[in-house]
This record gives sequence, C-alpha cells and structure tokens, in this order.
Amino acid sequence: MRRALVSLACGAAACCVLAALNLFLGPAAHARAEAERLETMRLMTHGETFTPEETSDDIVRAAWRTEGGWLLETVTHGYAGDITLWVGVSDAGAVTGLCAREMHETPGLGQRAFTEGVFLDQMIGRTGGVEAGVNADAITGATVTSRALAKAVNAACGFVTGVDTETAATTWEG
Amino acid sequence: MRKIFTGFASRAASLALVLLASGAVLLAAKTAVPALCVPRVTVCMLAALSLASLVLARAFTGGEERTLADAAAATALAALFFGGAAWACGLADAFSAVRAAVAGGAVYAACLLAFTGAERRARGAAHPLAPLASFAFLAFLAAQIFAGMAVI
Repeated sequence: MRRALVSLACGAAACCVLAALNLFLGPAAHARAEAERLETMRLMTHGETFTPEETSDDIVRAAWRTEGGWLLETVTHGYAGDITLWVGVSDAGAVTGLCAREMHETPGLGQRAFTEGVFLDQMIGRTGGVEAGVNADAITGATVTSRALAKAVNAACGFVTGVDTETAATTWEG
Repeated sequence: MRKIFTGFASRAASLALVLLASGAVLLAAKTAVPALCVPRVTVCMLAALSLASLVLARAFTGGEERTLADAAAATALAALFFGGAAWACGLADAFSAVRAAVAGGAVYAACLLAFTGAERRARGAAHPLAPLASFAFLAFLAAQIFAGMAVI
C-alpha cells in the first residue's frame, strides 16, 4: 500500500511539474511562436501586413493577402500523415517561398524534401503545373512526399490564378 | 528509502523520471524553437520511453526478483503516467490522454514482459548490463514497424 502511494505520488509530482512548466512557459512560447510566424510570413512574401481571407478550397486551408501577393496554408496527405506547407505566391501566380509548418515524413527519405532544400528550391518561380518526376525532380524513395508537395504548390498557384489544378481548366480570369 | 523503491515502485518512479525529463525537454524546445515540427506520439516513441525507464529502474535497484502482481501494478501506473504526462505537456485533450494512457499501458506491458525475460537470462552473464542494453536497442529497432501508428 505504501509503495503504491509513493509510486502514485511520483507520477503525480512529475505531471504537476510538467503542467506548471507548461503554464509558465506557455505565454513565452506563444509570443515567440507569433513573432516567428510573422517573420516567416514576411520572409516568404516580402510583405508587411497580412489580411486573412476566406477560403473553401480542400487543400488551401488558410489564406492571407499581403502587398503584391498571398501567403497560403496548404494541407496535403504525405506518406506519414498530413503535410502543412506555407506557400508564398505573387499576384502573377509565381511561388515566392515555401515553408513546412508540420510534417511527420520518414527521416532520411521524405524528410529530405524539407531538409536538403533542393526539392523546394526548384518550386520557386513556378506558376503551377508541377509534376514530380516529370517537370520537377522528385526525391528518390519519397514519391508520395514529392507528389504531395507538388500538389500543394499547384493548389496554391491555382488559388491565386484561378486555374483548376485537377482539370487544368481556367475557371477565373486570374 | 531504498526499501520503498522496490518492486513496481522503482519502475514507476523511473518512468515518472523519464517522462518528466522528456516532457521538460519537449516544452523547452517548443519555447526556444517555435517552428519545431514536434514528432507525433507513436507506438515507437512509447516503446523508447518504456525501455529507457526499465533500464533506469534496473540500474537503480539491481536485479531483484519481481512477481506478476508487480508487473500488473507497474503497467497500471505506467498507463496513468503516460496519460497524465501527455495531458500535462499540452499534447493531448482529455480524450487523447485516455488514448495515450491505454496505448502507453499496452506498450509498457509488452516491453516489461520482454525486458523481464532478458533480465533473468542476463543474471548469469559476466556483465548484466550488456545484454540488457543490447535488448533495449533491439526492442527499440523492432518497435520501428509501428512508426506510422500515431497515438495522438
């Protein structure tokens, strides 16, 4: 009985310390996250102010209008769950920046698309129509990740220009 | 003091220590690097934490004999701790914490049974920690097959 109580006390103490740490660091973490978010938005689009816009797109889950372009948050299915990617797109529909916000791809395979930079670099300046392995180099051993990122880029460009990325038909003058 | 931390109590205390350390590192990392992509809580991660705590408990208390009741009590406490730690770190809401508790308890029980078997075999070896460390490493590698199974 005594051992059970001591064991429970150890677990409760650990959880209390973690909860206290979470509460204590929470405001600082939130402030730093907000600052980092704004800085990343500026770097990707060279804009200063960001106005949220409505979106009903399946892939483009959030959109911010900024000077001379857009910042779009896309969610596509990768190999190991959803990939949340920020895509900066100019008013002309060209990609100005990319940043992974959340992903759980396999280290050494799918994660290379984010860590090596070569794959994402080739997307800069593209205006959609990206096909991994056709007109863009895919990551070896990570076809699903490469396609997911290409789909995100195409959806982001399509959101701005009005091109239907599924059928390649133009639905809006863009 | 040493008398209290015997049997399942040593294993529970070790797991609490491991969860506290890993949770603190996670919270500090999230504060320092907000853009960090935090790894999901997977079966593989639960196995790694369980095995680390079992090795730590073995190092603290030596190779004492434990009963099946000890294993059951340690498993129940592990389930509570995994759920509680996930909630305390802000990784899970109440429902996800229950999922983490159930999955954590199951993974801990599997690791505990395998670890106890290896521990008993290791008692006759020249250095008892060598086969234990290699078992922990191999079990961690084996748990990679569950890498895609997210718990939270």
